[in-house]
Amino acid sequence: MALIEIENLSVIFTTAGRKVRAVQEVSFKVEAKQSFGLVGESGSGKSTILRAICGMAPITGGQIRIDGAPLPTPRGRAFAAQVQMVFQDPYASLHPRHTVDRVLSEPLAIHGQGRDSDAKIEQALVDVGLPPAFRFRYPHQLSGGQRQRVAIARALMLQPQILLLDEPTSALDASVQAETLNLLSRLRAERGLTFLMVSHDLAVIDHMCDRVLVMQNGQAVEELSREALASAAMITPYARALFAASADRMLEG
Amino acid sequence: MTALIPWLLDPNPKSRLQSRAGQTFLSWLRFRRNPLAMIGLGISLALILMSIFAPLLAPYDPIVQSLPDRLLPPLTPGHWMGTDDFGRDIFSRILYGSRITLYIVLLVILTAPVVGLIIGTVAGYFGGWVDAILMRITDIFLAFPKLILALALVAVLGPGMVNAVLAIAVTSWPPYARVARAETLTVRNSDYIAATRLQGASALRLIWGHVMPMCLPSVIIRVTLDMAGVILTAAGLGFLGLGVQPPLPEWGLMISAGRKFLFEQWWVATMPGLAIFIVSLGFNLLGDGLRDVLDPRSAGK
Repeated sequence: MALIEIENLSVIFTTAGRKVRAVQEVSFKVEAKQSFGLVGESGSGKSTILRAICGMAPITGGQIRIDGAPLPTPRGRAFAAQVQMVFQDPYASLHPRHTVDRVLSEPLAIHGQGRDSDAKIEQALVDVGLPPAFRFRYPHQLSGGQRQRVAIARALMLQPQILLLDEPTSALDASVQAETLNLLSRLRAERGLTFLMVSHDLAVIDHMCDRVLVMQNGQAVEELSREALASAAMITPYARALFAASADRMLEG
Repeated sequence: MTALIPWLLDPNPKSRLQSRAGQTFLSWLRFRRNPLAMIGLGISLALILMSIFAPLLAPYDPIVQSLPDRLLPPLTPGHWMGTDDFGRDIFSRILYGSRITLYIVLLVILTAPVVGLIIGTVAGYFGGWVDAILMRITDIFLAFPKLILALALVAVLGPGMVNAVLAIAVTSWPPYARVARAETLTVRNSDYIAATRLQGASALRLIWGHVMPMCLPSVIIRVTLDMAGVILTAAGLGFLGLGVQPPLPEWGLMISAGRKFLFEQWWVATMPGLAIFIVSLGFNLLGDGLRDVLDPRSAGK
């Protein structure tokens, strides 16, 4: 049984009386400890799928199952301990008036795991490659890459099985991007995490993911394995065009 | 002292206490750069010291009358601000009056902004019908002119200091609710709120720990800017005979008493008027300075 099963998922937003079909009948499965990529241009509905899993977008049709069980609404603490998300913009995802210490201790406090939080927080910082001296800094005293590391540390505080990554590196500059991706790969290997990763960049997806779903206008276009991606064995013209657009960078890496 | 400053400015604090103290110290350094704000702080501190040490500073009792000395002009030996129509020393009365002013100001600070902050953040956070109900109530209060509503309330409750404070508090919370709600709306859909909600945080934890700290600076700034208005409203109620009752030396009441002989014995009304003016100015300058320090948009620069 797959860890994440998404079946005929549809998300429809109603704004000012107009219906926007953000996701239409998308299905895919992610096996445990696999890294699954969602790729497509802006507005293809890939982030909306992550938001629907987290309860931040309405599920209008279909079903999402984690570990065989349909998701409860509201998502609740058990879900929080199982699934966490890393947001795209590290400048917006950390509270500007909370120290790193506060950001990392909050999930422990919510889940009543506040005992020896000092040790846990320092360990979490070391795990994401930040010096423990950063513990009492504010987000504005950190660089973009350092902030994203804090956000990753926060998502891992509750030791979830599944990490949802919403373009975790697109707001960072190129060298920091590579460092952050390597950090994520290392953490996945060490902890046996399952990744569901969204990106518009096939090079990033190729570096990180075992399987890829190409999306366009809210619909699934084609699902590819890493081998198919590497040998450019796409069937649909859209996937082929997307591949061609980022192929040169993939070959370099 | 020499060891304290590097400890406060350490960019890598070792404990929560040190980090908090360091941030406070940095805010103080920012605040100190603004000379007008320092003047405002000085006036506010002077008001507090005046009210604490009024019995020691005042040369005369503020209530005991002395008819032979009535209406002495300023700079008379022993009465450098003059005396009023009952022969009471105006300087002593202003000193004791600062206690009443401070009492009113503190009581209003402790009630109106707290109520406004809670109502505004709850309305903004939950949205929907909670927002609609709370904000329509706020609108009803906002629709009345402040002083008129306060007058009506005092008329119902009866004159007196506590009732005046209550009336001022009831009429001054809606702007805080509005400010807090507006601020809440800008942060409620932010990623950091979503991230914390995703960790299973309750609405109470989110409002208290995440939304309120973002609203607090604008509310605190508004409070200090409104303090002048509160003092003036209290003085206005006193002037109309609906606030503090004679013979207590409330500043508005003193102006009211001096009105009868404003042209011949101008100092009776002018001295407490100057006191109100200076204290209001002080709070306004303090508010301006706090805006520079507390505004989240200027923090971190």
